[in-house]
Amino acid sequence: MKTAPWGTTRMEPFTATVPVPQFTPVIDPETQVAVFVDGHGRTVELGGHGTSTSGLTPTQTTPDGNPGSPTDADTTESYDQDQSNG
Amino acid sequence: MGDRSGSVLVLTNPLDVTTDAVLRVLAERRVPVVRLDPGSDLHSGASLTAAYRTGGQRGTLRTASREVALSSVRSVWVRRASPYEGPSELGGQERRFAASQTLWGAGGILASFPVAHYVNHPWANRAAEHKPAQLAAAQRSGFAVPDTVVTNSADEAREFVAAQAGGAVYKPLWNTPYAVDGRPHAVWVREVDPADITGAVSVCPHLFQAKVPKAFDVRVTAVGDRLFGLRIDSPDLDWRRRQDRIACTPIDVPEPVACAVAAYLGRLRLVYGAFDFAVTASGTWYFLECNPNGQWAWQPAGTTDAIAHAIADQLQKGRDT
Repeated sequence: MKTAPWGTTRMEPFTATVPVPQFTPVIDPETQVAVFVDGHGRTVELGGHGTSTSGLTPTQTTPDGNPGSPTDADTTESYDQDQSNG
Repeated sequence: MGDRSGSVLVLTNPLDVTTDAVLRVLAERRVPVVRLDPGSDLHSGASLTAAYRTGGQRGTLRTASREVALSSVRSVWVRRASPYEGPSELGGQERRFAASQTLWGAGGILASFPVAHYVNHPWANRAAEHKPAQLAAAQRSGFAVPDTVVTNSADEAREFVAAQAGGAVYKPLWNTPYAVDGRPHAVWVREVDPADITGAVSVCPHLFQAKVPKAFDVRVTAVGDRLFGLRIDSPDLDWRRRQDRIACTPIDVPEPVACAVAAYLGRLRLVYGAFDFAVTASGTWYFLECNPNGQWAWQPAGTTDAIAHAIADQLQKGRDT
């Protein structure tokens, strides 16, 4: 008998995720800061920083504009598990 | 032995804009930085070599723009490195082989610098991500901790939830990427009705916690012995869900809570931690969680700027001698 974990019945969507435009990050050789360049070769500023990026991919964002970083318990050593609150 | 003029090694992916806030501070201070995303850079031109022998070790990291002796790395900032997934042009078991060798090989080298100051050490992060370990450390560090049970017994779960006079909530022990019809989902904290609990609790461990009768939430970002408290007022039980609805105000951290934070960080060998508290009307700060690598740059500009400088201070100073 296959039963889905009870916890998955508590899943709800993020309030809003919107695709972020594709920018190519280029690491500044001097400062090592990432500079983002759009399709026209112009430098752009990315938006804010979310509280958590778990479950989001780099091409999705929460409404405050934070690109998600990849997470995978089996393949990464530094996690992005912002905690549940309440 | 520690080379104070050595580089700061930053492990993160190129899209991590939070890192850049600290790198700009380090650039102003002319602290040399080398940025590496080991899970992808080592498959696209960067090289990492470490040599070990009786009585010594040495090594070299070469990236597109840097070459550093591993012995000269003064500190390591573990941020948001990409997962070790292997070269994208490979498939199947060959890719998995390369990914595992990178995880255990490069991950091992990068975690084993003898004199570097880690913010945080990656294995300390891993240990401190376990919620049962967090709760165990919290109650031993002097925090007030809400009654909590972790169980895969539906009977135990139902009994616990029913016994909480003020209600109970469910929290996952790990946030697994989860999508329904292609749309990302997550568990947002809300109350549990004991009647909703089914035998499906037995499939895996589940965490249930007494719902704290909170007046407001607090995030405390700890960087070494510097604490940045932020009061968060939200119409939701879980303030993360609708961040456009939260109001943030800096708040002083009471001395007993600050002492418990220091004890907790020491116990779990952390330099950095993002602590979440639920504060009651009578002023009790209940420990909810501590994310050892929690995001911090979403806070008001003054707080974010202060944290960026505090992290830069840690990375610049290197390990205490």
